[in-house]
Amino acid sequence: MVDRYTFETHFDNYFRPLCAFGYRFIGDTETIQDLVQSVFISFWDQRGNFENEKAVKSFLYTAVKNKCLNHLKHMSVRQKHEEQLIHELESTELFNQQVIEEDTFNLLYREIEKLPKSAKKIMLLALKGLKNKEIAETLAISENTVKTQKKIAYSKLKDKLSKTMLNFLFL
Amino acid sequence: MDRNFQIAQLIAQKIKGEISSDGADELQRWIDEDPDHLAFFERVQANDHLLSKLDIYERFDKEAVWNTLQDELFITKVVKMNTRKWLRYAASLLLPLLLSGALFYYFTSQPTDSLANIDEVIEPGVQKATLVLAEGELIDLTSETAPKTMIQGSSEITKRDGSIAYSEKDKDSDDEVDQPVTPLVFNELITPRGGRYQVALADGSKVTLNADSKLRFPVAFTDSTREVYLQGEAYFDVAHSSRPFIVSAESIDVQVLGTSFNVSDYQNEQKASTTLVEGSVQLRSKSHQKLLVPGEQGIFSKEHANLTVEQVDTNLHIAWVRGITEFENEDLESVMRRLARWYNFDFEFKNEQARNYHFTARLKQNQPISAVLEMLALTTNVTFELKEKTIIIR
Repeated sequence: MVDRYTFETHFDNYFRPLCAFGYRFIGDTETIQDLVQSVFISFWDQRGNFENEKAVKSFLYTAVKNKCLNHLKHMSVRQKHEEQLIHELESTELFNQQVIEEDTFNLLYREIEKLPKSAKKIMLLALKGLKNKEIAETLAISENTVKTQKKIAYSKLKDKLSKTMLNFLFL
Repeated sequence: MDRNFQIAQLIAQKIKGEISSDGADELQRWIDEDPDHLAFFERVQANDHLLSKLDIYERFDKEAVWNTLQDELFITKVVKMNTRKWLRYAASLLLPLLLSGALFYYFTSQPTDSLANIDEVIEPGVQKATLVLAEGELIDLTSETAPKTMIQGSSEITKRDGSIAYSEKDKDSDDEVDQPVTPLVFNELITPRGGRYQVALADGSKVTLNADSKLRFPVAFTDSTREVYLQGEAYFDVAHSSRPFIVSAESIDVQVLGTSFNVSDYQNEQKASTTLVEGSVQLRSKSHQKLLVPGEQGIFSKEHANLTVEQVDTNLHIAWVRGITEFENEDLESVMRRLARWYNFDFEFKNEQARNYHFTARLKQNQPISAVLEMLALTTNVTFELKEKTIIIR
């Protein structure tokens, strides 16, 4: 049984990975967001049917896959490229791999999501390759604030991520 | 499908550097199964792959989609008048008249400054609470200086945005009832009016404490029962265990093994109630006892000291947890009491009749108070005035 409370938790946890999963095939953020949204609506309609979180996850990924397939199949003019995507979506092995990939990354991403909002914003700009000075300008804050926030983010993530991940995030 | 999630978990643990040796073996077995698996495993770990993934994740607007979903599934922005049947026909005839009357009144007679700055004086509630430690020390959990981790008895407290979590440091297995008896160490979480907070207890049970409420709980559950004490209102999501979980409120006790339910027992309300979402609970007052099944609400009337059970729309009673206030044919006085707790204001009825006007409404709790009062005023002939922090109902 899924109540509103758990519904929001599931939405929080799986919205992004589901979008990213479908984005591979649809390639348009707006469209995929709409598809994922409609999946959550049918999920809510069937909320009585889920025994555990794994069943929920399976349902969500499979439903997004089917939505994407339908979307691709209904496009009036299809290119070779789309045929290839449909083939990929229909292959169990590839589907499994994509589910693993999103689920893995989501577990890592959730650690970054737990950061305070300001620290997260700075981290994401840093990841896009912006220097401290540029980040400071973009967000209209001082360079020192950027440094402090980075330190906060670093100390919060330190216990959660291995050295390789941290170097990758902070270099 | 479950295998996928298990492998994903293992790869994530590997990247975080926290994989167990059993886990590493399992992962290795999967990699060896198929050369594709190896190629995949190497690809997902690559830094530039993770980076581009992060970039994709950030493109999606979670908030926007959540708001649309919430509107679509949970909110209908309708405020109705009293729905008592004999009034309905009259209302259908009178409503247009009343409405235009109300509008006319609203635009012509409203003193220009009575509600003008109300949104600056009275604001929606926020995540706010005070934690009372066993030694009596008070911690303001909203303060920047509140410690991120604390030790209480055999438990560690971790603080996040809007919630705290307890975990036992050397946790024995859950069902071992015959442990050596250690005296329970209690903490207390107190929310003011206009505040709300979440706590994850040491057994994994989650509690959302509504405004103007108090929860007293042991930092570790070492007894044969798990008992907590509540004043006010809270939503419980109890972790399953063979040890009964008991919510001891002022006029009722609720006992469960593991389930989700809401308990509301405010001192300034005539009724205490518990609403069951799933599982089953046993409800007790001093003299009565009832078993509830999902979809039922047990109500204890303080006036008559009796316990009744009703079929209810449970969503209505747990909507507050999701940031929505729902009223169903509720009288204005009780509506005002609820709003006062969330928006933190006092109120005074100068129009005695208005106490009994009934309302059905669904409101988002982050709406400014002016919008809420405006809706209430539009369908009836009451007016609201602000005097310092008191709302006067005429």
